[in-house]
Amino acid sequence: MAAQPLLSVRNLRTVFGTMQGEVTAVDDVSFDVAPGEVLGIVGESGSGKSVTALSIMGLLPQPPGRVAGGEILFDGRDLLKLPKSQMRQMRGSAIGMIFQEPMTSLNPVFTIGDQITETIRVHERIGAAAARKRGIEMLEKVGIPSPQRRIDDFPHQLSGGMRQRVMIAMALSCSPKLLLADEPTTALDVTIQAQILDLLRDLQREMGMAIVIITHNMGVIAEFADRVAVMYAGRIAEEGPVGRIFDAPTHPYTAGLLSSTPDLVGEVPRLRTIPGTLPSLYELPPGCRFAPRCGRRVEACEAGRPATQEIAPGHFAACIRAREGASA
Amino acid sequence: MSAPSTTPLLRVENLTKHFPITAGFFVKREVGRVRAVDDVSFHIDQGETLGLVGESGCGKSTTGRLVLRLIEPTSGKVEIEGRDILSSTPAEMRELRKGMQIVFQDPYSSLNPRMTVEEIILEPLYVQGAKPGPEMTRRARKLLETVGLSPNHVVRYPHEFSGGQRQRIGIARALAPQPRFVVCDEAVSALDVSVQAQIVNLLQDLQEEFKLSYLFIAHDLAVVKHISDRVAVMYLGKIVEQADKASLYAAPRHPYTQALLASIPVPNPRLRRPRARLTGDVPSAMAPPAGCRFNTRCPHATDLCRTQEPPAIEAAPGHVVACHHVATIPAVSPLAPQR
Repeated sequence: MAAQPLLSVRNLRTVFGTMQGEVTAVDDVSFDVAPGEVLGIVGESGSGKSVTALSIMGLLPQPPGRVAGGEILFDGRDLLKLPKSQMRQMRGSAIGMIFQEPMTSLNPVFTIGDQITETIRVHERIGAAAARKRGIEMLEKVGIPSPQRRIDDFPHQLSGGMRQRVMIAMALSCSPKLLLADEPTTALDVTIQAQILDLLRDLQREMGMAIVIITHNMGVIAEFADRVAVMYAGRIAEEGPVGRIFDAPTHPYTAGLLSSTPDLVGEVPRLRTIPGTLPSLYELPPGCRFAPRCGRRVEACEAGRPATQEIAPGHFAACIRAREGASA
Repeated sequence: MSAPSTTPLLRVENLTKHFPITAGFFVKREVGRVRAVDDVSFHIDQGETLGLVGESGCGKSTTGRLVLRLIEPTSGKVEIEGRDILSSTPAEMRELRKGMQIVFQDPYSSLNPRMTVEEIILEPLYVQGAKPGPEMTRRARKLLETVGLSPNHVVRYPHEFSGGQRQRIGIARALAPQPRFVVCDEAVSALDVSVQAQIVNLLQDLQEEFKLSYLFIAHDLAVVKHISDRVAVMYLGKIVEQADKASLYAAPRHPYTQALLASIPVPNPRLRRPRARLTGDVPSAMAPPAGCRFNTRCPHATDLCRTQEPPAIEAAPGHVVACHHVATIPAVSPLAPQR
């Protein structure tokens, strides 16, 4: 991609201390995000996609969580080495974040105006009146009707879709270069989801920011992302441009994920399934973590961790049989 | 999949449920009503699957509970195999309930954590008067096998299972009294996609094996399309459109169905397209708009829509639409590949 990525995650390893010992939720994950690019991270529950986002933001619950290794370079600076005060300055201004739950991410006892202007005033030397004016502008930008009036509403006076718009307004109020969106539309109904995705897409183009969108929904990835990283059990199984991943998935897990998603356009008598379930992080299989569920497994798969290979420019897969052609 | 037959397995007519909103602590008075389900009619044939879709709060789950009489309707009629369940006595109801079961959405909260799998699965039979014994254990083991779990799991507790396995236990419980009709209330919504596909396939296999009829309630239109024979779309307590699956997805007639289909992100980057946006939110069911309930968000709304409720019209054989302008709105599928 671009010569200088905006965000470069190198060999990130995040662990959680539990009663049964330490578990590795994110294991040696690396990816880049170019300025203005939309990277989708897709995976099922427990794949480590949200923990990756929290690690980048420095928002891991500590303890039990801990980044045990790797680098997170943002504009060339390692976020993991920043002092807390500087990281706090970074969050909300250079990197914005929106979460899944629009119902619980806003403070119920403050008006949305209080919450938006707080974000702005923490990061910029700006008066209360000017911050409020900016807040109203932001609410208008995210499509909230009569923002002058709505800015004094409390969160409970807004619907789920409106609250997510407020979250977006807050996240974007300081024009971040990077937005981390963790399942931003999962809690919303499908017609509202479409509105929010359109809004994010428009704002992304207008403001030229990069987005990392985390989702379990292949449809959201297909419509929204430029590149996609597929995570499985704490590792990236496959990564590449969105067109290639959907047309020619090389990792059997990606292929399985795509074929087990019911299709709205075509018609199949029976869904293809991936047998078994996600492995527990306590008893991870040796070698390739997908091997126990994989239809293309050979003995070598269990021997060691499969190396990540570049199948085509920008298209990587962590499967020893990736070069044998697209998996069916 | 649907077998031709004369009497439908389930017939629902003008089913209505209004929940009163009360105020006052000692003396309750009604200050409003949530019109959760309003004048809903449909039928399900033997061995058929009717998909019931809609967004949150549209009344689809309430409808599912009403047809099993888990909650009492305000008015309307529900007949199962020709028998009116709403006028049945409690004893008759218990007998009828053998034939109608439900699978719930949340595999975590719908299984009692203090009961073993055997107790959970056989609970419906014990309610019916069966007594525990080796014969019953055999039955539980057989049911576990039927849903793809190991028979030896009968002695385990729910926490020892994953979400998908728990949903299989919930299905085994529903199958225990050998029902003919099962309501699947968002039965696969909480599951990851690879596991969801396993459960969908299981439900289809069981339908074939035991000649089951399903009311499949879900918000995911792709899953509903896959599993259903016919589909009904609900909006604010009303069924706005009802048709066989092929015509509903290929030629939807109601503007809401069209908008719903246009909103779904399709897992195919080549179908990435400008969406027909549906503006605004779903209005409150406490004060639904006058006339057609969709008129506040409908791109085709006229004065007629704002004053008069549209009747359900059979626009084509088996294709029922509740829209004043059904004759003039083109039946285009937003899913057709563009250009």
